[in-house]
Amino acid sequence: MNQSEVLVDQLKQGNQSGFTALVDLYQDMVYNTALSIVQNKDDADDIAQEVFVQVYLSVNTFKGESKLSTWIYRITITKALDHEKRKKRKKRLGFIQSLFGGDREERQHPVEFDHPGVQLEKKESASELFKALKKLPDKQRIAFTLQKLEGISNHEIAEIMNTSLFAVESLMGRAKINLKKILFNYYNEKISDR
Amino acid sequence: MNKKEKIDDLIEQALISADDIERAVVKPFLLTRINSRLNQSKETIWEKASRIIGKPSVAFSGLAMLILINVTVIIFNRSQPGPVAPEQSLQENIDEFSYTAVSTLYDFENSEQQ
Repeated sequence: MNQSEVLVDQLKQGNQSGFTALVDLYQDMVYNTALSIVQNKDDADDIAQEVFVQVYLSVNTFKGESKLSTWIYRITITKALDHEKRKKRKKRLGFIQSLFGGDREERQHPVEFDHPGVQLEKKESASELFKALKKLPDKQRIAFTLQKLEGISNHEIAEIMNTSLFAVESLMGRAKINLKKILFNYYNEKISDR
Repeated sequence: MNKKEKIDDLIEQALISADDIERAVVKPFLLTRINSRLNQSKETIWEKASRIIGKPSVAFSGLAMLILINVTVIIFNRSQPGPVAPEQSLQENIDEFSYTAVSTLYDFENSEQQ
């Protein structure tokens, strides 16, 4: 029995120390994945809490067909994407409210994301990359984020995304092409403006 | 370096900027916050029941079921013959409504005179 199987067993028996160990083991993974997707520290913290609550409440549905980390990655990605959808809905509502004289500040100046793990000399380039990432379709973004930022192998990404290895490679290829296009347009405009 | 080469260089820099990214550190006391959320999320059996009943799909199905039961009962009752009124014989009618019958206190008192 490996460590994660022991943890799942303890959790299923309602053992609190098992839950504490699980949070200790996976909090870094969950928080960083959520942070890369939602690009906001407070939101990532909120999602991390939601993920562990979900793990605690639905551990009995975990049958052990996949790895525990794969299951937790799936929950994290789902929660992060749901969170983004909720935020977009709120933004749309905010836009409608702004038409009737509400606050337009946030809409006109979206907050730039500054990942705390990026080296100082790469901050500007990374910021552009994260901005471009936001414009990618969800699946491409998830595949790119898991591979580049989480350092997960394509095989594991395929398991997490419940797809084939070939599909992940294809998603990665398209993600890189689209990122290059988005960044080209951005830098082209920026250089032309000077 | 022309414009195209400069842009390509910037794109390459942006793409590799994520290669050696370090892990972000989680805010302290995450477990405490999770436990607090867990305590909030624990609901009583009545809250659970009202949440389930409150779901539109459950509520509409329940309502549809109630209407169906009512309609079935009405149709079933209509197809059944109603209670048959007992037939009264002519003699019974005469006995009941005959003015010769003893029906008042006065008649009882004067029955011998007739």
